[in-house]
Amino acid sequence: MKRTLFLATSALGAAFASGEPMKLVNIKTGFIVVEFKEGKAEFRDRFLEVEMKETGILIPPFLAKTFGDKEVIFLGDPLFEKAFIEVYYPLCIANVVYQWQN
Amino acid sequence: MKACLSNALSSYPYEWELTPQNSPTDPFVFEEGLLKEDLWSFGYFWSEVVRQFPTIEQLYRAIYDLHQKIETIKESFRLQAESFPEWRMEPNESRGVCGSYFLVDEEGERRFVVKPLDEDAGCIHSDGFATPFTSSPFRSNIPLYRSSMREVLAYRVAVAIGVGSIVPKTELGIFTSDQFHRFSEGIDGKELSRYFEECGPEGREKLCSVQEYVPHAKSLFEALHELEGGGLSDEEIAHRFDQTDFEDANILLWTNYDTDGHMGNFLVYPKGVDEIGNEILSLKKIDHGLAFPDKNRQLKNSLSYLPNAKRPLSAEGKAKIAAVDGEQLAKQFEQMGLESAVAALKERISILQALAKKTDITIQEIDRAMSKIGKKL
Repeated sequence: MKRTLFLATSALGAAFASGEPMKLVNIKTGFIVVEFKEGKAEFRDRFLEVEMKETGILIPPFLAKTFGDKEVIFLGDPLFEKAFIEVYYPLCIANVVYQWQN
Repeated sequence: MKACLSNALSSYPYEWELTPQNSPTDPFVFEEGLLKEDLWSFGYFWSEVVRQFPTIEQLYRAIYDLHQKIETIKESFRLQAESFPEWRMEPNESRGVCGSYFLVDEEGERRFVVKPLDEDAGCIHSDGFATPFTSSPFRSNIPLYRSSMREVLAYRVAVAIGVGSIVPKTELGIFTSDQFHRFSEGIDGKELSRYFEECGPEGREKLCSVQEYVPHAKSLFEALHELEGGGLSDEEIAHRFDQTDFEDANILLWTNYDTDGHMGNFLVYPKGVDEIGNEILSLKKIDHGLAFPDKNRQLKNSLSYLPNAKRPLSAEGKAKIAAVDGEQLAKQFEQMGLESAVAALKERISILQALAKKTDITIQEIDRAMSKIGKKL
């Protein structure tokens, strides 16, 4: 199931790469966690935004090569969007309550 | 038992280097063949599997060894395992990357969360993240096949340092269930018979951590979004959390040097109400499979971004930290087979205790300092 999730997020990554704006939404409340638009991340979760700036996304060793051998990707890094979609979402958020929407 | 356990945990040859060639006396009989196609559903890890185990012979030797080690570890902990009722085992569909099941009683109530040792992400029977390796592909400095012990140790450490309410009670258990995932479920049908022939049958009886289920809880991630979505200010949000429990959760993360303290790994539940009827929330930390690293690197504590973290550590919090007995905790680590994590424990406890002595130091300041252990300034 989780492998499928990883592959699904890879597909999402491809959608993002094509420039489609996407947002991560709590489907129970409608709260938008983050929106990716024209290569920029707009966080509505103010705590998560600060965390992404200061702590960033830890890249697992097995994925390091696909992230330029970086151990951490911070908000503002050109690879942030990819890291959020392909690493942070599946490892830290993935939950039926939180879904990507156009 | 301890010596046996130490041997079982330390004798894995398959870290991150190539395995030695088999000797002529090997009990394995293989046709010569290089790994060419991922018939085992290694997926993301396939290229690394091929790099480390160029032949089927080497791969199956590693897996055979893992099966033996898993059995040895299970037997080493059998006497520590508690007995549980023979309730129904139900897959946890909203689990993280590690195998997880609910133990459900006769009334259909979830009573425990069961996590098999060998279904931790990166372990051979993981659903979706199986590897033949013995070090975690998700974190450096976290050896595999110790996750159940880490879960239990987190609870025991929490109790020992006076923050026991932060971790649901967790014990070891040994269970047999058809629900458990097995590596063979991901193997291509044309390879299955050779797999069983070379690696032997897969046991259904597994060593697991067994944690009390927390009813009426939601993730901190979700709870925060409800508060943010309601337009609450930082101060209003801080008021909604029990500050003592908040401090205790931080003290636990610093003590355990948790590398996976993201908001999805905290459960939030109502503890009471304030003077105008607002719920006061408390916290429980779940999922300690990536705590207790062998080196103090990559502390992850999302709590440090909440407004409660900007408050100074209380006198009670300082007293709890001052009372942490590193030597006693080290004994508990050793009892759970985590000797390799003791040096890092002692290093960070002395730093934490020095930080906590500083006047008016905030929770956030302690966290930032703890995050820098081992980093070059």
